[in-house]
Amino acid sequence: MSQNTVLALFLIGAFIIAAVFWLVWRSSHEAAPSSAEPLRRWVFLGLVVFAGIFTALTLFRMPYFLYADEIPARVLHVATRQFAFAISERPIESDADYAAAFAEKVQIPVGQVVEFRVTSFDVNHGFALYAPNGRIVAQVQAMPGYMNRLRWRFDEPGEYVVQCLEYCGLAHARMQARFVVKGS
Amino acid sequence: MLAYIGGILIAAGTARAQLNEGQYYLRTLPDVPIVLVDGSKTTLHRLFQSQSVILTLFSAHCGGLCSAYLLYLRQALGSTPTGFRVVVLSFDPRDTLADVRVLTQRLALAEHPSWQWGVMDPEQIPRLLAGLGYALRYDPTRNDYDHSIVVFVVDRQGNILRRMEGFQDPALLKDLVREARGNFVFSYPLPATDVALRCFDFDKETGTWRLSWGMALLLLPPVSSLAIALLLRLLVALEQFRAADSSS
Amino acid sequence: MTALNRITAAWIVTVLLVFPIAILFGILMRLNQGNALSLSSLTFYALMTAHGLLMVGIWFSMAMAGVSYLLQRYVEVRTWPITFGYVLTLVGVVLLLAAIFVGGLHTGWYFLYPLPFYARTTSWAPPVFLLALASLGVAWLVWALGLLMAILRRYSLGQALAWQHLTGKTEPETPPFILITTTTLLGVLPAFVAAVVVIVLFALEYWGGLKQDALLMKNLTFIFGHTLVNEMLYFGIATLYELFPGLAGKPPYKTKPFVALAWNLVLVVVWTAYFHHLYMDFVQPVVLQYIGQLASWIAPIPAVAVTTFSVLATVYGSGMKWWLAPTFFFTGVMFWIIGGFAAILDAIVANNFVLHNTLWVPAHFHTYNLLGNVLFSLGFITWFVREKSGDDSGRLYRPVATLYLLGGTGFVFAFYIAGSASVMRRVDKYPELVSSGSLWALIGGLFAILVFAATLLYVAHAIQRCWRILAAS
Repeated sequence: MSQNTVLALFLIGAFIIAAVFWLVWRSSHEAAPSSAEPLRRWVFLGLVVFAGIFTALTLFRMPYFLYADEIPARVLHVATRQFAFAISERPIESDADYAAAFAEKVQIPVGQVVEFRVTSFDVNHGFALYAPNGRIVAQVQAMPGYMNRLRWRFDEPGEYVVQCLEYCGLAHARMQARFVVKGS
Repeated sequence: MLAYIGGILIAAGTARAQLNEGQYYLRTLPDVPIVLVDGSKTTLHRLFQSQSVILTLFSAHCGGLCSAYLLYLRQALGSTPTGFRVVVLSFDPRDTLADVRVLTQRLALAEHPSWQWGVMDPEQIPRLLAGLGYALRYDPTRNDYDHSIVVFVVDRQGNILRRMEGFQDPALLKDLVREARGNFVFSYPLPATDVALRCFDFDKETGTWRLSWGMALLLLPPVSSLAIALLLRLLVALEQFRAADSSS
Repeated sequence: MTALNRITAAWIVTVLLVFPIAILFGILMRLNQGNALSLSSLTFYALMTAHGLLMVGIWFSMAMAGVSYLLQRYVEVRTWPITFGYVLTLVGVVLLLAAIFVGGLHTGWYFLYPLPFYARTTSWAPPVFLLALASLGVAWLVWALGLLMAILRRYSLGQALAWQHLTGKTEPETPPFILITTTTLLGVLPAFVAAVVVIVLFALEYWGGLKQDALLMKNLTFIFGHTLVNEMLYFGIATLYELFPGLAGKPPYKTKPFVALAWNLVLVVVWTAYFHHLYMDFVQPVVLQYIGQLASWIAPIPAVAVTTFSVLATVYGSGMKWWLAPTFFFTGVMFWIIGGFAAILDAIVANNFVLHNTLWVPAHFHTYNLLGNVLFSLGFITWFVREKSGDDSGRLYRPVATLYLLGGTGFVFAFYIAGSASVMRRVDKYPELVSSGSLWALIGGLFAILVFAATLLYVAHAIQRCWRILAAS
C-alpha cells in the first residue's frame, strides 16, 4: 500500500470508530435499558473477517523477496558509518574502499532492477530511498556484522536521496547521500 | 595432496581479491563454438540456454592443479547436480577430444550428462579467456601453462553472476550453487569471529539460518517468567503450610 | 488501609509533578523541529531520551499503582513492595536524569546497541544510565512479584488465570480484574528479564571487551521496550474493568468464557508481537517476520471484541452521569483502538517498508498512550480523589476535557499526516528533503500546548487533594 492509501484507510477507520463512540455516548443521556450482548458475536466475526482479508492481502507481499527471481542489472555496495553512506559498484571492505567510494558518481538506470548490499561499519543505521517527490519508496536497515540485500526497480528518473532512518547520533538528521536515476 | 595444500595457500592469498565482484558482474560471455566430448558441435550460449551453468576451465595436459581442482569440484558439486549444469572447457590448444575423454573416465564423470566437457577451436580460446578475465601464461621452460583456478556462475543469458577462485571451503561453493539455481538469499552475515553470542548462525551449506545459542537468550524472558510464577506458587504453598502448622 | 492510601497518593503526586515537565520536553522538541526554537543537537536528543523514558516510567508506575490500590478489593495487599518500588523508582529516575542532563547521554530510550559505545558522552554516563535502568527494573520487578504473591495467596495460578471459566464453570469466580492483572503481571516479567540480560551484555562489553551480536541485542531491547509499554496499557484496562461499570451505574463485569480465553491468548501473543520492530532487519529469519505480522493482528481482536464492546454496551442507553473519570475512561478506549488501528496498519510488513521510523510511529503510540493509557490512569486518579476527598472536580470537567482532547487530537494528527508524507522520526531538524515536517511540527507543538494547559489545570486540582491525604495520615 502507498502512504496515501494507508492514511486514507486510517482516516476512514478513525472516523467510523469515533462515530460509533459518539452515537453510543449520545444514547447514554437517557436511560433506555436494552442489551447489546447478542451483537457481540457479530462484532467478533466481523473483526475476524476484516483481519483475515487484510492478512490474506498483505502477508505474502513481503519486501524481502522483491525481484528475487530477476537478475539485477547492477549491484551497489553500501557501507554506512556515522554520518555518511559510502555507495560503490565495488565491494566496500576496508577503510580505503570506504574512502574511495565517495569519489564515485553513482548512476542508476531507470526501469531496471538494482541490488543494494547494505551493511554498517559502526552502529545501526537506516537506508531509506526517498524519491524525487520526497516520499520513501523502499528501505532496509544497515546492521553491523550483517549484509542486507535490497532489490529495487526505479521507475521514475530523477535525483534520489538516501536518508538515515535509524537514530545514530547527533548528526543523524544530516546523514544523507544522493544518486541520479537516468533514462537509458 | 601437495597440490591441494598449494591450492589452498593460493586461494588464501587471493581470497580478498576475488570478492571484487564489480569487475566481472554481469559481463556477457562471447558465444564461442564448442565441440563436446561426444563429437557434437554447439555454442557456449546454447549450453546455458536451458539451465544456469557453473563453468570452469582446464587443460588435459596440465601437470599442476587441474586434475586436483576437478576432483575437488566433483566432490563439492556431486556427479549428478540438479538445477544447474557443470561445463568444463579446455583452454589448452593441444587438447584433443581423446585427451578429454581419458580425463573424464579417470574422474569417473564420463557418463554424467550434467557434466559437459568440451574443446574449442584454438582461435576462439583467447576470445573466451578475455571475456572471462581469465589469467593464462604459457611457460616454455616447463612446457605448461600458469593459469587461474576459478569457477564462474553463468546465467541463462550468458552473463557472469559470481566467480570464485581456488580451493575454498566447499560450503562457499554451495553458496555459488544456490546462486546458480536462482535462489535469492536476501541477507547474510559478515565474518565476525569475536562476537560472543549470536541468535542465528548462517549455514553456508544450505543457505539458511540455524538457531544458535543467542536464541536461547530470547527464550529466557518468557520461560523464566513462567518459572517465576511457579516458584511464587510454591512459596505461597509453603507459607500456608507453615501457617497451618503453627495454628494447629 | 491508610498505608495503601498514602503510597497511592504519593505516587499520584509524584507522577503528576513529573508529567507536565515531560510534556514540556516534548513541546520543546516539536517547536525546535518547527524552527521556532534553536536547540543544539545534544540538547534535543537529551530531551528526546528523557521525554520517552520519563513518560513510560511515570505512567507505567501509575498504572501499577492504580492496580495495586484496587487489588485490595479482592486480596490482602502488603504495601512494602509498593514502597520499595517507589523509592527505587525515584533513585532510578534521578540517576537517569543525571546521566542524561549532566552526563550528556542522548541515545534515545532504546540505547540501541552499539550506539552507546559510539555516542559522544561523558565516560560515566552510559554505566550510570544502565544502573538507572537496572534500579527501575528491580523496583518494578519486586513490586510486580509482591502483587503476584498477594494474588496467589488467595487464588491458585489456574484460578487467577480463570482457567475454570474456560470450560464454562462459574465457581469459584475469578473477577476480570484479577484475571487481567495476573496475565499482565506475568506478561510484563519477560520485559524485566530481557532488560537484565541487555544490561549484563552491555556490561560485558563495557568492562570485559566482549563484543555482542547487534541482532541479538536489538531483539532483546525490543522484548524489553515493547512488552513493557504493551503491558502498561493492559494495567490500564484492568483498572477500567474494575471501575467503569460502577461509574456507569451498572453491576460489575463478570468473567465469561470468551473473556478468559481472550486474556489467556493475549498473555502468549504479546510475547511475539515485538518482532514487528525488526521488520526492516532483513537478517531476522523470515518466519519470525510472519509471526510478527500475525501476532500483531491477532492480539487486538480479543482486546477489541471484549473490552471495547463491553464498554460500549455498558454506556449504551445507560442514562449515566458524565464527569471527568468516566469521560477519561470512555475516550481513552476510543483513542486506544484508533491508535491500535494505525499501529496494525504499520505492523503489515509491506506497509512498514515505507512507514518504518517515520512519524507514523510516534503518531500511533501517542494516540494510545497520551490519549489512551494516560487517560485510563487519570480516570483512576480522578476516581481516587473523589473517593478520598468527595470532590468530583465538576468545575474542571469542561475546560480540562475539551483542552486535553482537542489538543491531543490535533497533536497526534500532525504526526499522522507528516508520517504519511515520509517525515522521519527522531531528528532534531528536518532536512530539506521533508521540509513539510517543520510546519506539522509547529502545528503539533501548538496543539500540545493545549494539552499542557489542560494538564496544569488538572494537576493543580489533583495534587492539592492528594497532598491533603498525605498530610492527614
